[in-house]
Amino acid sequence: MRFHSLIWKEMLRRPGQNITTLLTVALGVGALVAVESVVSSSEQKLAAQMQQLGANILVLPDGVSLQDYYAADEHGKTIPEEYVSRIALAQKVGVEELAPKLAVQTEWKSQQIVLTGILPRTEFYKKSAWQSVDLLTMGLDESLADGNAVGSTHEGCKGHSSHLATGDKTDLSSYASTRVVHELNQNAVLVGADFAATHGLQTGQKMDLLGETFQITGVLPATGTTDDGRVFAHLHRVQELTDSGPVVNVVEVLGCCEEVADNLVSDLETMLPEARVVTISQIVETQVTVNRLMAKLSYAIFGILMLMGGASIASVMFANVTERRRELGTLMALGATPAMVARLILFKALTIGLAGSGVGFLLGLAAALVAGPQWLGLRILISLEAVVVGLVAAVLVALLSSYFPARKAAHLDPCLCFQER
Amino acid sequence: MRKLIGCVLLVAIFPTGGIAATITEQVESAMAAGKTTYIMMFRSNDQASRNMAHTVKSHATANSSRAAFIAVNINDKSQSELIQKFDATRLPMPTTFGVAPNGAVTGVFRLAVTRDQLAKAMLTPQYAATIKALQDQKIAVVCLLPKGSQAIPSGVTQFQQSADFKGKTERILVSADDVSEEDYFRRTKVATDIQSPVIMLFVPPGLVLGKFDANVLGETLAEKVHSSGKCNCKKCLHK
Amino acid sequence: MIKLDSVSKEYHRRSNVIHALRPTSFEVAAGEFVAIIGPSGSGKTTLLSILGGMLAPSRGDVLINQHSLYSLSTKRRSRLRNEQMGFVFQSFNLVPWLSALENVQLPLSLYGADDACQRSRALELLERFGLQDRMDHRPSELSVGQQQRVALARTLAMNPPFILADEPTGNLDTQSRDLVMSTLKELQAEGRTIILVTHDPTVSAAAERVLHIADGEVSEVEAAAETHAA
Repeated sequence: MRFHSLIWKEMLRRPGQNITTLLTVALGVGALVAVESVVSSSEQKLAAQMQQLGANILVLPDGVSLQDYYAADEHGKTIPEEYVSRIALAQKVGVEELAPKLAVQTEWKSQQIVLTGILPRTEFYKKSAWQSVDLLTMGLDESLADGNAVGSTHEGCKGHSSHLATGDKTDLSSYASTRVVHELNQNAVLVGADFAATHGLQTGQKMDLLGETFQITGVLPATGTTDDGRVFAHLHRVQELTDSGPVVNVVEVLGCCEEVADNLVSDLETMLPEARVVTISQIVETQVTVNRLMAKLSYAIFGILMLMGGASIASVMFANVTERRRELGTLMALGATPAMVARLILFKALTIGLAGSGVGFLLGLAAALVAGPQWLGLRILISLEAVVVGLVAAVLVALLSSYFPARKAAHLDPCLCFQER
Repeated sequence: MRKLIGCVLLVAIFPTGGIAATITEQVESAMAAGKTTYIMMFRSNDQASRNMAHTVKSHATANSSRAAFIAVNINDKSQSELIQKFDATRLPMPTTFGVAPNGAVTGVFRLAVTRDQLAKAMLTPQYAATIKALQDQKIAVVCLLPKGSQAIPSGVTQFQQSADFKGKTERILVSADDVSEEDYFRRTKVATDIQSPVIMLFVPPGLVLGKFDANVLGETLAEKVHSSGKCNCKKCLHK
Repeated sequence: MIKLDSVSKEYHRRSNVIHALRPTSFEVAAGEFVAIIGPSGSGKTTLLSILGGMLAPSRGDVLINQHSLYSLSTKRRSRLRNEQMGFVFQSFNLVPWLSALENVQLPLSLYGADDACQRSRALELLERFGLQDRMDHRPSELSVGQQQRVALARTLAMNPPFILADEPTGNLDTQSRDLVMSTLKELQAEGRTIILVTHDPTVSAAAERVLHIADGEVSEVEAAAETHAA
């Protein structure tokens, strides 16, 4: 029979008391692991989105609050499509793509779906091209003045790029990064990846929407966004069929790079005073701020639960020492040193701390894996930092909380063994 | 009712002295006469519309040999084809389009316009051809030729015939001999007394890729076009 | 051999001095069976605790085989207690959550003996007391007599030369009492030194020598017969 057997057997004698204390520790660690994992995964997703979306700007109706960047068109309010023309014709430095959208609820095969009207790139190019004279004039003044031409490497971003329809632009797979399709005729629809998979749809099939028959001309690549579950048609056709008039819910402006994004935002705000202009980084900042708050909150909750756990451990250990004083006195009479007796108490607390953090890790993992995808649409990766912090803190709290009970046990009078029951 | 008001306004602002040719006929007539047509789209008789109409009409009158003015109310269903062509219902009103005789849009002026802007929208034939090429999504290879020369640099031919760009380019020859193209030389800041051809490369929607001498290779021109697909600042190249 | 040299123990409570044990000196020879008899509160337990190395005297010294017990460190004293002293408690003091076998193994475990040695020695002792069939039973599953026998087996686990017994028959029926006393006699016959504390004259009669204690004062009783007479 070893030293640790004495601890185990004693703990198993009355598991209820130990389980309560263990659960307090487990809850604290579990909460920390779950929240930190969600926060960490959310930040990673945001970082990936930021990288993917780059310098994206949204033009929204005034007063619209934005919960999700990808569902920016689901608020039901509209702005005139004229704003798109204003932006396209202004030829502002940094505007690479324009993606106005109008999302409408409609019925298809007895189910409600979201049909999104989008404008193909060719429409934007057509309007931009009306400014060819001005663009050439600007280009001729700049390029010939300093001997450099657009297209050579230079300091700072000039922000204009050509509208030549190169292969990757016309390829549907570019939608994932540009959020714009190159061409789309008025009788065509594109379907999101998930929508196509769920309903077994393929290119060439027909869909009846808003009383018209459309042909599926492509399945969009998976983007990991709400677009995957939608159907897309030409914006003007959707406007016509829904009698909405020339309006949109949102205009996405893709900037060429982040260098020009700030100037572009202020230009757009000046150009469209009636609209709300937000950048992906502003949205992300909000989310990052929320994430940081959640992270701090999780540590605060963890701290409180650890204090509670510590108090519970201390209370249980003090009671345990008092309850076992005759037994501990007997052990001393049989030859146990005070240090040995103290170790019995400390190692019991350590066991509770380790077991509690182990259970807490499993609880946190389960909560994160269930809550993440179900409630937050996130694929969760467990935060190792939280696991380590939780484990170390739980063990430290357990040991610190049991220090005084262990001291009390070590200073017990062995003569207690002679006391009559 | 709105159509009636529109028509009345048309007559009030732009008296024609009787029922004139349809708007489409007017546009076609102006283009055939080699004039730049200023088509003003408006919605109502507001101050901005009246101001713009006054400015454009004055300019057109002062340049009557080269310019024509036509006003179109976007509520006029009989003009739906023209309105749809310019997607006018999705533009701020009033908006004036400058249209060259070859159909190229030489300017779009929203809400207000100046005489200077209108003047810049009147292009030489070859400049209009250049703009048309760009608006047709073609690469414009402009050869500014010295007086007495029609020789086209071989690099230009190579470039135009290359597999990547065959059928995607438009060659525009601008001769220093042609007095009507002096403005082209002025706009491109090329002296009319050049001794050898100067090549200019433009891509849609109106970007200047460079100015080259007559010895430029087709590959050089091709490389310029390839690298113009996106912004070329250092940071973007690392995307 | 155990020798007490002017050993006394006082407690100070507020301004009062409680003489738990007044200065006393005596010797217990190796292999001797000594009973210490006195009423409740007389200082018997204090004396036994001092003899067992668990309570340092206020004055005087305790010598075990000529070596001062209380000059040893707490750790070494614990070690000495583990190796050389076997205690028999009035309430048996078995650990309730260990089996009979594990209770007997306890001193060996505290010593650091390996598992095989612990098991074989414990089994041997349980067999000696006829409890081999009860080795996996917890104390709550044993009769009072069986519990006392397990306690005796535990006392002998380390083969101690000194046995200190505190009212070992206090809670027992006649049969079990006889068993305990005969066992103590056996242990004495094996050469061990037995010091027994009791309030019962019939128990002290089994000893060769009786010491009387009252109000902390120890006095030698000439012979066991005199205790009976008292």
